[in-house]
Amino acid sequence: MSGTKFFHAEESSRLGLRWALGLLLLFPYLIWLAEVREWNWPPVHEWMPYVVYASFQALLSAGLACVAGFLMFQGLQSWHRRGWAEAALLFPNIIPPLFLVMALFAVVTPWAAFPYGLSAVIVAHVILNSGLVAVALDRLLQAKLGGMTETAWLLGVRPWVFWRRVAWPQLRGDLACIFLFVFSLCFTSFSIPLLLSGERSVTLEVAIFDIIRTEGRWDKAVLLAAFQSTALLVLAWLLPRPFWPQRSSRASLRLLEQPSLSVLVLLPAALLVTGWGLGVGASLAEGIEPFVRENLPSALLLSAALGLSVGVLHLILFLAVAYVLPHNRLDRFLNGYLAPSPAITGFGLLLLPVNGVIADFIKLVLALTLISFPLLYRWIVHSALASLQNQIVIARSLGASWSAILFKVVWPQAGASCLRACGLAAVWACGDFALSGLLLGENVSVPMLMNDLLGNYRFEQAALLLIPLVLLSLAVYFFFVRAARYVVG
Amino acid sequence: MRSRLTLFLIAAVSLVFGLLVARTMVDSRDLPREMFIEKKLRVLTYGTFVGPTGPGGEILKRFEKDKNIKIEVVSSADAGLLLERLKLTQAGNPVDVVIGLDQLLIEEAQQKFEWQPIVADKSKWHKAAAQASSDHFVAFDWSPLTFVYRKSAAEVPKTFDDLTAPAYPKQFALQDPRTSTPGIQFFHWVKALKGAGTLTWLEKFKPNVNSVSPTWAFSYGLFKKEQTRFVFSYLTSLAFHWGDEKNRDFDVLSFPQGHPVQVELAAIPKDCRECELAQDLVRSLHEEWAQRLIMTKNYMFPVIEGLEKGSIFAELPQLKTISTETGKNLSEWDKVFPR
Repeated sequence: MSGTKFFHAEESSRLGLRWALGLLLLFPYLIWLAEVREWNWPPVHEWMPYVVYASFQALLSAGLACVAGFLMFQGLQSWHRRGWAEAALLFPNIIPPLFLVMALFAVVTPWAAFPYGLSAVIVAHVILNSGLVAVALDRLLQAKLGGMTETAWLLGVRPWVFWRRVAWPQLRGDLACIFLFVFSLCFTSFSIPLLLSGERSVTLEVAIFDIIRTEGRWDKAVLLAAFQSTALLVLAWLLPRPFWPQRSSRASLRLLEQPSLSVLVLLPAALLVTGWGLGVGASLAEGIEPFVRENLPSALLLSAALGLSVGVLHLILFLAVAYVLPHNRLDRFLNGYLAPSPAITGFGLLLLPVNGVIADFIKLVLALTLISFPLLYRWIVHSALASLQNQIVIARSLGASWSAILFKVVWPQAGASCLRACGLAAVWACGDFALSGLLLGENVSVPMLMNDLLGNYRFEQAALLLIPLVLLSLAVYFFFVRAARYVVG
Repeated sequence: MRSRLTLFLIAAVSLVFGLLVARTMVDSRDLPREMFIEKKLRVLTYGTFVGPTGPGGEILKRFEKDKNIKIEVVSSADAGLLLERLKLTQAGNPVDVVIGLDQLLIEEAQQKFEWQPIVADKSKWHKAAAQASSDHFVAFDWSPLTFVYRKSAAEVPKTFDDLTAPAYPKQFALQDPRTSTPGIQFFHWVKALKGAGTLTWLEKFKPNVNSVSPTWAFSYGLFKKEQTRFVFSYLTSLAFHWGDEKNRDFDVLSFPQGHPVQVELAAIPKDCRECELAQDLVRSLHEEWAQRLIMTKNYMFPVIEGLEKGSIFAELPQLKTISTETGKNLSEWDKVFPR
């Protein structure tokens, strides 16, 4: 094959792959487009209150998470063991939301009645996301104002003057991106509002679930999900910057440190660990019942297989994205798109005309991937790829093929981020309740076993299973992180 | 770099397959060769019925062995989503039996689907189970619903209207009827007893509500953690506490006005493929061993009278039962507990 033909073939394959990626992410919508015969847009009064209430809840949640994250960021600067501190900050964000809810209950209920309602939802969202904001702020300041902060410290500038005169004018857009990301997470939240909001739901996701359950109106549910995805996509297009910059060489941000706030860094993780301890501690005395012990090995194997499969599928998709980028429109689509709700994705895949144990497993892997891939791309992978754009352009202008660019330029630098994202996807998959219940049939993963025990009065036994589930989640996460060291070198 | 990545991908995919093969081996270690055969019956049911704690797994396995067939279980996350799941399944690969419908879903089930008649001898059945069954839907377990509580010196409501008394502020855990079957049962109970006064009664009762949970499991978890004094649940919940936990500190409220009944039903869709086997499976649910299994694992009354004798179920208090409406019109509830 001549050089020109090879380049044409590469361009065609890149174009095809870009379309394939876009269509794959939109797959649940495409299935429903083919399935639903009659579309009726729900009357405004049926869904507008949810949008207003969800926006209000997400604004408050994201705003307070940003304030708490700002305080944690200042506390973080006093920490010498930065890796551990960041891990503690991000811990609530990487565990399945149900774990957070269970821990909150265990912490609050021995002392007081649980305060259901908007306030409980907001507190849970703040605990979930404040650490993420703190680490994002840290990366942002390191990447964009690291040198300037050191200079300001040497010149004796007061921190608040630095924030007001230097940081705010230069970082406004980036801060808006952080806020928007957290806003999107809170706006589309499902488990937390469903469990904590009491009788009043506070997100459109819950409304979609209600519509499916009480009316069986898939047209309405899909339209609302499409509305939600489109609204968030439009918002993201207004603020297209990566909010999670690649970590450059570390600058000292001593000017901005607040030693008195350093304990805040551990607060969310400590709250969760205490909650689990309280929940599991009471159950330990009972021990694991024989029939649970009998079913646990099989459930653990299935959960491990599920986590690994989802991680590997993420890796393949990240590789595909790394191969087809840079491409402005696809990049902006990936950076703003959020998947439809689990119910729409899960039931959509059920419509595919293939069945059986293996087919159900593959559908579940695909559904979990379709939901977590856009989020993880936006959170972790986007900035890693965006920072390489100049190198890609130079390599290309020097005549490098796209595959050479992928394996010699992009992957060595972005591979670790991609594999970390794969690890997180695997953790989320290991802890999934919602889609597994829909797609796994009679097969039982660890969360399904927990669900089964909860439905059969055995709450203590279910709490005990948190231990193997957390250990398994850590194992699959470190499998991918360790793999990164081997693969990337 | 590329070869390492390829190697890693191959290793990871192999590990996944290895785990799945290992799991299959763990699951099938005691199965005879006859289990690996072709004829297949598709059963749609809810997750906990066929889960490790439920009776379904054992019932289906025994049926597979007896009939020398393979059963494929199609599960829905919970019983309330069975009809939605059925709607999607019947478009492609239809199921032969549906297990776990309740009387609240029957109206919708009759409107949206066609069903095969099922022959069942109901002469020895409990009245509530026989009444809820029809030519197309047959009961396999049942229980009245009421409020469960921990015994203490404090007063408990004696009549249905006592539930609204100011003496019980924030003491009742309910389930949301939009997401939970017991939640719908509670709403229809109020409607059956209060009729046109439902809205007023619910408004009066609201200050006594501790929480409205999306699922029964969640509200019962709150009750077990002593977050709430009363929880709306099954009379047969007592069988778990009295029998399995050996704890007699729990009791139920009994009202002279009567209580709603939850009946679980099985049915066979008209477009079944293995219709004869489906009939056999439904009949097997009423065999004595299966009924006893359902009783002890599902914590529900058997439909056949007399099987409770000698078990903890015979010791449970007898509640007066009433029939309630069905359907998903929750307008009064929506007004008092709006989303």
